[in-house]
This record gives sequence, C-alpha cells and structure tokens, in this order.
Amino acid sequence: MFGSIGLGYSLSLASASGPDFPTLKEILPQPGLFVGTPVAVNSIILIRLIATAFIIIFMCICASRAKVIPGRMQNAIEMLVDFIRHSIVYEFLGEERGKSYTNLIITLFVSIFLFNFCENIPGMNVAATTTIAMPLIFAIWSLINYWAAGIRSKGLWKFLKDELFPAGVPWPIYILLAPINLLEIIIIRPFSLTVRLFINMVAGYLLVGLCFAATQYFLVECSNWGFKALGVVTLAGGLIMTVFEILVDALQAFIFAVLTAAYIMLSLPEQDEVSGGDPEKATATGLVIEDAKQVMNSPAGQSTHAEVA
Amino acid sequence: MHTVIAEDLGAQLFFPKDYDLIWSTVVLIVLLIVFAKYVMPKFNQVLDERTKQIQGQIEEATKARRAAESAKKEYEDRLAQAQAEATKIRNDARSEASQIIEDARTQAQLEAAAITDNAQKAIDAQKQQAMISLKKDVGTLATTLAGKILGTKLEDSAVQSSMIDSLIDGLEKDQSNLSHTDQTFTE
Repeated sequence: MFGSIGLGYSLSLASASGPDFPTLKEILPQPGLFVGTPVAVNSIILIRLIATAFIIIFMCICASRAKVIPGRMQNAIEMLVDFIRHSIVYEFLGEERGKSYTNLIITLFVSIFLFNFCENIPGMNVAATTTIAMPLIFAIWSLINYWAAGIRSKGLWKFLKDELFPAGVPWPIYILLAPINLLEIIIIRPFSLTVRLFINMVAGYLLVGLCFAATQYFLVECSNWGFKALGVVTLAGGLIMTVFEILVDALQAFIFAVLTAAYIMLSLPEQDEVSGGDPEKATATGLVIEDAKQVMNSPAGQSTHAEVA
Repeated sequence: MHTVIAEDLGAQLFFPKDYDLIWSTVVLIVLLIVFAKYVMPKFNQVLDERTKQIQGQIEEATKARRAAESAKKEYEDRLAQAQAEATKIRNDARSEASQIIEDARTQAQLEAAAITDNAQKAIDAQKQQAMISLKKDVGTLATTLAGKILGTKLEDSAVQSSMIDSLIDGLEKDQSNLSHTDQTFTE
C-alpha cells in the first residue's frame, strides 16, 4: 500500500510523538490514476487489478500445463478444486444440480481468497476486498445466481411464493413473515455477505497495522529498554495476527462460497421433489443447512473481529 | 484524530465509489469468464481423462485377472485329468501284469499236467506193451519150462492155452498188486 506507507512515513517524520497507528484514511484512498473519470484507480483498486492479473495468469498457466499425471502444483490446485466441488457444491446441491454451479463457487472462493490474501503480501499490506465495492459486487453476483436458480427451476411466482409464504405456517403469521422474507432475499442476504467479508478485512488490516505500528514505535523509535521489550511483544503479536489473518482470509472465502451454495440450494426445489428422495442424503443436506446457519450466526461467521469492529 | 472526521470516514467506508464499483464489476466478470471458459474446462478435461484412464486400467486389470484365473483353472483341470489318467494307466498295468502272471501260471500248470499225463500214458503204454510181450514170452517160456519139468510136451493146444491163461491170470493178479505198489511209490 504505497499511499499509506508514504503517508505513514511523512507523519512519523513530522512528529515522532506516538505510534503511527493505521487509520481508516488508508482504506479510503484517493484515486491516483484517471482521476475524475468513472475508471479512476486508487491504490486498493490497483492492488485488486494486480491480484486479478496474477490469478488469471497463474490459473491459465496451471490449466495449460495440466496433465493427466499431475505435478506438485497441479496436485495442490486439483485438491483445492476437488475440495470445493465435493465439500461445498455437491454437498449442498447434489452432484447433478451442482455441476452447473461448480465454476461459480470455485471462482468466488479462489478470487475472494487471493484478494483477501493480498493483506499478507509485503508492499500491498491491504486486502483487495478492503473497499466495500468488491464484496458488494461479489454479493450481488451471488444474489443474481440464487434468484436465477429459483426463477429458472420454479418460475418467478412459484419461487416468490415458496420464499415469502413457506408452508406449514398459520396464515396470520404471513403478514409478518412475507415482508421479512422478501427483505431477506433482496437485501439482508447480500448485505450480510458484503459486510461480513468487508469488515473482516478492515479489521484485519487495522489489527495487523496496529501491531506493527506499535512495534515500529516501541522497538525502533523509542530508546527506553522497557518500551523496546514491549515492542518485542507487539512484534510477536503482529506475527501471530498475520498467521491469524491468513486463516481469516481462507475462512471468509469459504463462508462466502458456502453461503452462496446454500442460498442457491434454498432457491431450488426441495431435493425430494427432484430425485425421488434419498432419505440419508436429505438428512445430510439438512444437517449442512443447519451448519451453514450456525456459521452464518456464529461470531466467527458474522465478524471474526467483533471485538475490534 | 478528530472524532467527527473518524465518524465521517467510518460512514464513508460503507458508501462505494462509482469507479470502485465499475472496477470491481470488471474484475469479477473477467475472472468469471476466464474460469468458466478456460481454467475449469481445462482442469475438468484433464480430470475426466484421468478418470477414464484409471477406469480403463482397472477394467484391463480385471480382464487380465479373469484370464489368469481361467488359465489357472484350466491348468489345474488338466493336471487333475492327467493325474487321474496316470492312476488309471498304473492300475490297468498292474491288473494286466497280474493277469499275465496268472495266465502264465495257469499255462505252466496245464503244460506241466499235460507233460505228466503224457509221461504217464507213455509209461502205461510201455507197461502194456511189456506186459503183452511178457505174456507171450512168459507163456512160451513157462510152457517150455513146464514141459521140460514135466518131461512131456503139452501137445494139446487147448490144454496148453488154458494153462497159459490161468498162469497169466495169476501173474496179472501179482502184476496188479505190483502196479498198485508202483503207483503208491510214484505218488
């Protein structure tokens, strides 16, 4: 993040009175290229473009070199692809219906994970998903897909009826339930996807930045040995937080992919109507839905950095 | 840092810039297209090919195993058949050998019996002959002797022959006693 680093150094030169803690300014960078046009580029967008180019080049090279007998790199990518395919897509949607959504979920997972991972790369230091636009666009794409899945398989009215008026509820409840459900499928789902990812990345940036800014101040700028000892502690904290952030990056990508798959599954007709009902499978899917809901509602799912945010 | 500015910035976080939205959309569309049109089909193709190859290899192995099993079975069958045949041949040979021995023994016994029989017959015949010639000679001799003893010639042939006959009868009695003794001796 060249902007923030530049800003940070200038500030620290101007006044060494305290640690140069990260602020929200660095994640609201001003455009530096094509200023004033609709295609203006700021530092985070630049990071995003570089990450995109990296993903495309890397995946295309791997794909073009893919052989029947895989090498080490191909094995790793295939393991990832297989994991997403079987543990997320087929688990929720079944093999038959899941096939057409595999590309979507894998693209979402890989993109989000590598965008998130930019926060751990020296020189970038901020995730490509740290402006709300990117998570929002991912969430809108998820919304388009679960609406399309519902409309394509049931038709618009049947889809809306199933979503707004779930069976087995006494009719007066519908007065309350229908608007809530409508709000959920139009706003709450994409908004929760967006905010969960975005705030986790903001919090990650602030946490790691906090640790290393403190380390810089206490360990390098202060001459007091007590402060230097404190600097060692904050350095260790920064390293631990970096490792933790790598976990969060993967976890958030996983949650986003799982929830998108779950939303698509909820839009599709019941598994029983389609495949004649495999009770064991139905139970397994039911359990997974429960899991997904727990993930959605758990503190880790909502915000890994609740305490900071 | 002023609180008002911080609040301002915090609110700004949640309002995406138009250019940011445009770039995000572009990035997502490009990623989706690249994944859907190139990366995933390529990986799927390789994976499918691998699955096919593995399946083919498994089928081939199954086929080879079946062939080996049938060959083994055939071999075992043949072995069992050969063993049975060998046993049969051995048994046949053994029984044939004992048959041959039995035959030879019977043959030998028959031959021995025949030889003994012939010898007996020859002996009997010679004895008979000897007896006849003896009868003749003894008769003449006895007559001659008797005549010499009696001093007279037995002119009358009737007397002569009756005398000879009674003599021979007596001799024959002796003879039969003798031959009986002979037989006991032979046995």
